[in-house]
Amino acid sequence: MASATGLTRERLDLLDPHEVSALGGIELVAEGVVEGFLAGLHRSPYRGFSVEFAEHRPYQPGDELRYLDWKVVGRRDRLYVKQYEEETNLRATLVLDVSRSMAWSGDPERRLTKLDYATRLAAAIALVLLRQRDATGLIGFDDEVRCAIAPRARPGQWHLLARALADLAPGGGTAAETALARVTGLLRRRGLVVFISDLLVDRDLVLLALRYLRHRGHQVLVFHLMDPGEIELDAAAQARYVDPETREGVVVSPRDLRRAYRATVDGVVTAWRRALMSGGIAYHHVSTDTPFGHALRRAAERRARLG
Amino acid sequence: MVFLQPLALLLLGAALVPPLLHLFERHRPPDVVFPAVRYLRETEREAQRTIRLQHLLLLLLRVAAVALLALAAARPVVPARFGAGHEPTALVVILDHSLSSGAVSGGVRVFDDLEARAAETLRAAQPSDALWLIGADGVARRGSREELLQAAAAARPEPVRLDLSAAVATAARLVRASGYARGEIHLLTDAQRTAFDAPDSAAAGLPLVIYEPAADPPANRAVVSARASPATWLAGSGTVAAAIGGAPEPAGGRVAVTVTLRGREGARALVAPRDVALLPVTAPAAGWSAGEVSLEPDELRADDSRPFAVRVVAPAAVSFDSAETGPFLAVALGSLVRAGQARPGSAGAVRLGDGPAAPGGPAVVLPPRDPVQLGNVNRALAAAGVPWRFGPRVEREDTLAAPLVPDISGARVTRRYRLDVPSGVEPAGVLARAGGDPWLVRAGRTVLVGSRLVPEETSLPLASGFVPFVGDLVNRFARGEEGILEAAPGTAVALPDAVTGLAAPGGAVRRIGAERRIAAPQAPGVYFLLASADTVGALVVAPDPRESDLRRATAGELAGLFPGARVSVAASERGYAAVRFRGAGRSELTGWLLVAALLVLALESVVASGALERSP
Repeated sequence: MASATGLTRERLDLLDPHEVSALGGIELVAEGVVEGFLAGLHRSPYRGFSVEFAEHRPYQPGDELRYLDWKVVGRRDRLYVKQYEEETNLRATLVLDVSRSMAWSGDPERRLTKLDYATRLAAAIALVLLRQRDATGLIGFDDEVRCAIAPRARPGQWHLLARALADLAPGGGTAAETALARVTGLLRRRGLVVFISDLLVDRDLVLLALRYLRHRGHQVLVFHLMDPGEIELDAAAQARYVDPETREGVVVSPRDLRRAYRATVDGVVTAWRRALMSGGIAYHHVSTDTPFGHALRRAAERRARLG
Repeated sequence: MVFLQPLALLLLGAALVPPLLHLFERHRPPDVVFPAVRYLRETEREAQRTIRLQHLLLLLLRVAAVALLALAAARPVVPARFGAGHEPTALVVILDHSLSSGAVSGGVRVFDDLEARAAETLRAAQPSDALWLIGADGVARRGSREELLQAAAAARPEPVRLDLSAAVATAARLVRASGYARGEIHLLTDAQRTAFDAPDSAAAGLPLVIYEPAADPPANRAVVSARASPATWLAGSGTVAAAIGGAPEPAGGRVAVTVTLRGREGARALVAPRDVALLPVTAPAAGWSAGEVSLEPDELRADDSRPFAVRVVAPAAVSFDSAETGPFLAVALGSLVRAGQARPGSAGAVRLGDGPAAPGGPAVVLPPRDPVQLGNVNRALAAAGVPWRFGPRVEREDTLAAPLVPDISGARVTRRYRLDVPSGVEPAGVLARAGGDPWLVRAGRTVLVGSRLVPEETSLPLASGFVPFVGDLVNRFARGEEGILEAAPGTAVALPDAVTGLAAPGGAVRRIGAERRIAAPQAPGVYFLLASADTVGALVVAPDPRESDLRRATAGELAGLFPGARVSVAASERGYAAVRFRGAGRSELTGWLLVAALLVLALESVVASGALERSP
């Protein structure tokens, strides 16, 4: 990939995440994904071109023709679109689970770890938000908060976030409730909280924290990441399965439990969905082999509802 | 059950392999990092019972599969009833459709039950079997299954007696001569005691399946004997002696007996079973007549009536010299004269003495008192055209055998002259034999007796049948009459030499050629014996009285009648089906075991694939 824009012909948002990630670092991949994502939108879900002129930028496939500045086209014989400064109070915070359980892939040769998928997804979401001048911040946590970047909309925020995401390493256990308490302190104004985790956490405590955020007036969007190997047991031989965080193990024969396990996972997903949606929290179950564009669309839709 | 490859049973030890593998599988499984352990733990907790049951089921199925394969390798063989078919078998079905099978027992005709069982057995036969069907005539017929099914369906109760001992012996000979390794005899019968002879080991070693109806036999009554008494009636009247057989009536019970002669109903009487009724009948005109003694109908109709024949004649005129005849014959003749069954006479009279009568005249010739006169007597006989001669004197105790003269059968003879014919002459007209030699012969109207009728030479003068015998001599034999023969339907009967035809009750005449032994007609009735246009006697065909005794042999008695045979007695349709072909063949279970093993393995893979896993 020579440049992010050069890859837009391939619609990176719809390609296999593992293949897309092999093209470069987080920053580059996120830009490629977002470019493809924006190019695929028939109608922009957000209003980045509505209020006050800010600058020109080169035309990109997917931009609406009505925003072309025909005068500039006439003078310079090149396509430019007008961009406007959107007036918004939105402050978005990406809350990312970096616990040890996230650093796992059921098939490392063909699939990203949940953490790699989460950082790239978070980067893409951040880029989309920053492009529409939303103040965007980041909190990474495991047992404790590993990094915290306050939401800003200034130029350079994107690179700051991208570097932070790239530097995130898997930590220890998961104590999401602590990190979420910190989030409440960072978000003084009502905004958007994007929570990305495998949700292998204390369910009641996390639900309590998320509902509290919602109670404080935040819009909360939860991405529940799961590796396909966690959704379907594809192993056959009996083994002792060990939790990477607690080191607790259980001896099972996947062949005996395959269907029952799938039912358990479905039950867990359903329970999360019901519990969160009953509290007005958006919930998306995402498998790490899902193209980034699909998850990105969920985030964009949520942003669009905020106006 | 036997095993053709018993060593393969050692493979049963392999059935221990699945449990051992199961135990080894529990040892130190590898560690696998898996973040969603909490989901696994939750799943296992909820599905633990199902999984244990599934594991146990899998273990059992695998052990069963190995055991079935090991058993199949051992090639077990079981009796044929457990298998799909039977080995090629020589099968003889004896269908007893004798007279007694026509009885109605428990609302069902016995024969119908037996025929249905015979059809079942024949339908169960295979093309590789050799099949025979023996009917009431005792003749074994070989045929295909379809042919014998038709024969069985066409059979009906017949007024004959089937000697079941002889039939089983015939069947055993057929099975042994068939060359088949397996054989089976099926005897479908009402199991009358009287249908069996003495115990016979002809079927020793062979499977003998006996089916008898479950219902008890009815209380049958029958006319077991009906005879004119005496056999020849003089003009006026006569008597018919009728014996009633069958089960005894309840206390005081009697049955009504009716006699009919020439279509006219005669006397009636109430007779207790096992008694003999003497029924007076007005004699019709002189000549031969047929009559019938009958009972009221009961559950076995075929023995409720019995035919008889009688000849009505004028008393014979006799002439004799007591010096020639001896005192006993003279006294007997005197008794006959006094009873009106003979009369003294000269012209045309029956001459009794040691010489023939005038040419063509009737005579009873006795040996001369003085042996020196024997030559004269023989010359006189030759002159009268009689081929018989008095031969050498025989002093030896012999027993008389006289099927045509029942009154003298069994009498002893200690001194006699052998009766001979010249070489080249057919010895015809023998009425009785002593020691195998002719003793009482007839040529035309001349009768020769081999002994003088005195106690020194024969016990006959002292026997109760002596006077009737003398009556027969003068009224029947010396008159050229052949008498009354009795035979059961289908049995062999020896016809007198003079007989040339047999007149059936309907009038049809069957010509008799040179054969003297014929099978009695199947239909009961009176058949008159014809000599040219003259009626010279009668053949009374009536059922064997033993067929009227419906008492059955017990299972123990049946087994004892066929020592050495593998006897199975069944009294129900199901019981009979269970023993059918049981001893006739075996089946190898290998195929079934392999199929079962395949089914078990298929079920194992279904269970192992989790198809039976409980969905939480």
